[in-house]
Amino acid sequence: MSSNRRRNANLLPVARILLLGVLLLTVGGGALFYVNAKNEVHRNGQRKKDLERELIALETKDEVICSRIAKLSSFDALRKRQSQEQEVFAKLVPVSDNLVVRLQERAPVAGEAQVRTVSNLQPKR
Amino acid sequence: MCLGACVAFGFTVFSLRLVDLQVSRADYYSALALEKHSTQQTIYARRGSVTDVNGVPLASNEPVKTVVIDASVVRHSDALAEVLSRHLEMPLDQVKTRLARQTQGPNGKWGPSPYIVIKKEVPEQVAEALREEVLKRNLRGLVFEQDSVRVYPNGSMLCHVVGFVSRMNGGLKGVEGVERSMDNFLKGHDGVRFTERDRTGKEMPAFRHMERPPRDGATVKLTVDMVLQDIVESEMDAAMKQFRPKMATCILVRPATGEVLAMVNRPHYNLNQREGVPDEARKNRAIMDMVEPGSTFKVVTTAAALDLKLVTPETSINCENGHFSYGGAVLHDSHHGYGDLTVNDILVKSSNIGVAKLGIKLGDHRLYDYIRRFGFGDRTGIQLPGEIGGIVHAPRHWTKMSITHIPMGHEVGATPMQVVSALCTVANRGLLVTPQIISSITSSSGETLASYPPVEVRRVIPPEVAEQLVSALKEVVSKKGTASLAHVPGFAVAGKTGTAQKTSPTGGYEHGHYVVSFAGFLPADKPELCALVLMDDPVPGSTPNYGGYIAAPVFSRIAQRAARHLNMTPNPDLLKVAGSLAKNEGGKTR
Repeated sequence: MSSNRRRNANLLPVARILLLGVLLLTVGGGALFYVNAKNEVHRNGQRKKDLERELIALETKDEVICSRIAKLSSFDALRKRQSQEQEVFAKLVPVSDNLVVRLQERAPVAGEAQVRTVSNLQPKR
Repeated sequence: MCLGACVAFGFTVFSLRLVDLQVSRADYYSALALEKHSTQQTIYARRGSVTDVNGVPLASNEPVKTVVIDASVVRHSDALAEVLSRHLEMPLDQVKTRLARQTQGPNGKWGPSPYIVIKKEVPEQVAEALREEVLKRNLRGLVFEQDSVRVYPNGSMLCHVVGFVSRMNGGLKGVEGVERSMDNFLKGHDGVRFTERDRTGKEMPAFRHMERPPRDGATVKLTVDMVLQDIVESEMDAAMKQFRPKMATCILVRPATGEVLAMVNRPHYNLNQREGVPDEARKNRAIMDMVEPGSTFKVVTTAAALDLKLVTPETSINCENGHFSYGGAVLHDSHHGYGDLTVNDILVKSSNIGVAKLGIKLGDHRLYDYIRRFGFGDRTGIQLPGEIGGIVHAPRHWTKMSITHIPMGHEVGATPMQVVSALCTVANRGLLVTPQIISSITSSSGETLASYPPVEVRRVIPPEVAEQLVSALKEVVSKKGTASLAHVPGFAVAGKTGTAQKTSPTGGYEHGHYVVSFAGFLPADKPELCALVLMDDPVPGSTPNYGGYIAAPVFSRIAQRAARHLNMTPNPDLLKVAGSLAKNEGGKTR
């Protein structure tokens, strides 16, 4: 009776197996997490690199466009274009002095500097 | 037993080796590993740009690519050569020869070179088209390296001021002009990054160590206004066509602040095409060339005599009817012979004899002192490289004749910048101000690193003496003066003509060859603009070879257009006078 009982009691060391399983899972999970984290670091690094490359490409594009604008709108280029393409574009006619109207500043009137009230009300029709 | 001993011995040997590697020689091997996998990357800083006062770019960077081939991975070299030749506009044979280049590897064997530069400074658009085709045709081995070139959008405009850069030690270094004088601000500072590479040589961004970001170069803003520069350039081109001088210079300055608004020299050159340009064309004559200023210098002598109260503007001086013997030589007046002239009229008529007599009244030392006080013989201090100070001999080196020659601007070497600076002193009512061509310096982040407020050097003459001079100089630009053609409708102009015989390199003077000039400012009562037009050895044709006939009209045209651009309000009374003057003259002089 007692020997049967002993045999039955030692069949499966569940607690130990469970402990071992938990340990293995922890170590394995930790290792997997470590590998994943390491991969993530690499992925992020690569992403950073790609973004940097993209940024440089955009900056380069911007510089190229700025440089083109500067070239095309330079005085030198505009003068050349004006002389070469007078038939295509309207000819620039210098405004002579007699066609310039200069507005003289109005002489200040006494009391003009005083603060006055203003109203946004529309006048009655 | 024996097996056990062998295993134990083996393990002992391996353990010792392990200790040797990991402990004894750990530093050496870790340094070796670091050297193999770690690299130091230079992050290049962008060179700053140069702009005019309104932000118009004068010098900037244009990204370009260097096309490189790694021949060790090329499979279809003929196809690649054909594509490269077509896009880069290079002869096919030349590309093939370059692709066939062999180098000796680390193992001593010869093989295809992993780094062959096919072409430098390839525009971005061309590089992009090339990349697309290579990708489409699946050709391997093509690498693009980022680079940049300095471009000057305005070509030859303002070339002597902007200057240019040259590639030195892998970077750009300013050689001339502002590019040189402001090189420390423009160049910026390269950054550095320590990073690791994998076994294929690819960077592992996750293992970057220390990083110092680059500091891009600052933006240098000039005081020059490109609209005014354009006006002066076009007028000087027209004058060059008409009078064909050997060289010409025009400087526009705001007298109160000393800001240079425009600076033009002829001959000039294109900043983007510098190959084969003679040195003479590269010279900024406004600050590097010395001329005898001629009659414009009479202002200095008269100012000295008036300041020392030796004369008043109304003092009468006998001008000997055009022939004056002094020190064994005869001095002549170039226009006419005059009898008695007031000091005012000596300037108005530009009498050599009259001003020589003022010089004699002053004496060597006092005249020398005033010449130096007006800034002659010293660099003006403008922020451009290579400026010279001119030549003003000390009185102990003067000859007997010097006291009659120097007062009229001979035996003195002055740069055009010094002449305009001296006239600005009169315009400023006696205050000498340092001319400036840099307005401010701004970092790439927008922070102002330096600004240049006006610098007052010294008071040369009191304001009342300057006023007396201004009223005389106003008369110079009147019907009775030598520079009536310098008048500007609507504005009172004060100025002085100069016509100096050219010095010969072999000594003495060249007959029939002159340096003609006109220096003036407007409005005379409250000057906003001061300008000098100077031409060396013009071919006058039917025009008399005088500053009043050659340089003064150029000044007038420049000043008219500049005044309108600067929104200077003309005096309506003077507009009417100008109108009636034009009607009366009716093409008499032009």
